[in-house]
Amino acid sequence: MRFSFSLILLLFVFSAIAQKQISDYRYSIGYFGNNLWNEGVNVGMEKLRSDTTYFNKKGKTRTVNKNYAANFGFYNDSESHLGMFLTAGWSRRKMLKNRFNPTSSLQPLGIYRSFLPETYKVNEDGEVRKVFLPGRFYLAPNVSAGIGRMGRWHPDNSWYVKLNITTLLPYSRAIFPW
Amino acid sequence: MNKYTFIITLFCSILFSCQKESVDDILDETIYVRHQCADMPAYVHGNQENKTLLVVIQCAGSFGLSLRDEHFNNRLEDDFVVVYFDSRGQSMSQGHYKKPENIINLMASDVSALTKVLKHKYGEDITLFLMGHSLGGLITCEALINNDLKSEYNGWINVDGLLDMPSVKGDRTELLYKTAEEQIDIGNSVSHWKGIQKVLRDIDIDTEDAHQKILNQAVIAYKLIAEDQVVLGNSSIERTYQNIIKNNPIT
Repeated sequence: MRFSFSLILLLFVFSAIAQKQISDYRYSIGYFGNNLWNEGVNVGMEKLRSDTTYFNKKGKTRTVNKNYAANFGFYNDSESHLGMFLTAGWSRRKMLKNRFNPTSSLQPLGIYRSFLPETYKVNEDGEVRKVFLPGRFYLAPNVSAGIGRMGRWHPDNSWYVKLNITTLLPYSRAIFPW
Repeated sequence: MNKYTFIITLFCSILFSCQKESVDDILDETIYVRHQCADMPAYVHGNQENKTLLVVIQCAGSFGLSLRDEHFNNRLEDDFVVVYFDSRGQSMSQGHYKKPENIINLMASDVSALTKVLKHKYGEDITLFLMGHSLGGLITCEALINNDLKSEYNGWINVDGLLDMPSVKGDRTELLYKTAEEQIDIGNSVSHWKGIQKVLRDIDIDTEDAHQKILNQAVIAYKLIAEDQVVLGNSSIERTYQNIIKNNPIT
């Protein structure tokens, strides 16, 4: 009989974001929930890298924004831990005529820190002592995709709903996406 | 209170809400045990008035709280404290470590570490009972025998413990066949049980897929005895609620 002690769990992170553009920079703040219900906050910043307008096959104009992107946020899983993360990478946004903006991002540079509740360390001699600020660091590359819409009267303001998948490395004996 | 104070207060209240408060004698908290490069959560629930704790080790690939059904929640936790432990590499346990030479022995030493932490936190005078289900049965047995925990625990509850691995396939087949005979004798789902017996007879126990084939028949058998109300099974809605919403440590 084979035992498998590795763990692979696919947890989706959901965020609903309000965004504001000032010059080449976009700032965002939004609800961020691990698996839809562990409450958290996500703050982001994007810097415009390129702004390309082209004609599609039907002859309609389309604009694509490419940005540098960074995010900072946390979520709270009250039963077991609090997670805090900082990620950086690129994002891409397509401007459609009806003000809807499909968006995606790839943020390979990510760091994640878990904060655990009351933790006791047992050393090889069997001695028990309480751990100060228990938790662990992980590399946390992230991909996300979603859709948003610009404001009718204030196109600099917009909202987004995004699905994020982040992988914690190295987690236990396997990959742990959340 | 200005808005900045409000935001900081809100942030801090969320940050420190990881640790649930215990009211009077009722414990409802999560503690972690750090041992041999792993951080493993123990979910502590129940009445500590009797200072009696039941430590539960779950089966392979599962999570400690999976066992927290209505019987644990409404009966055991009324009188005792139940400690649901997520073993290393499973559920919400964290930490990175190399593959150990003897994982069962290492997991047994985790149980020993958990025992030390419980005595450290709740007092040397607590009364401890140990329960293991399936793989948990093997781990707890190893912990009692080779980690010298016999003197720490007042009793061991072995639930379908995996104590003799080579005999598992044969034992399961024999049990299923015997259960089928009993159910046929009392007239419950006769054709289905005869079908199970036929499949069991056709399984070559020495083949690699025999284990999975026997498990498939066990699943059918469990559904039959629940449908015929030989045992009281939870409905699929109750199981879903219990495992995904109520007790799932990742929610």
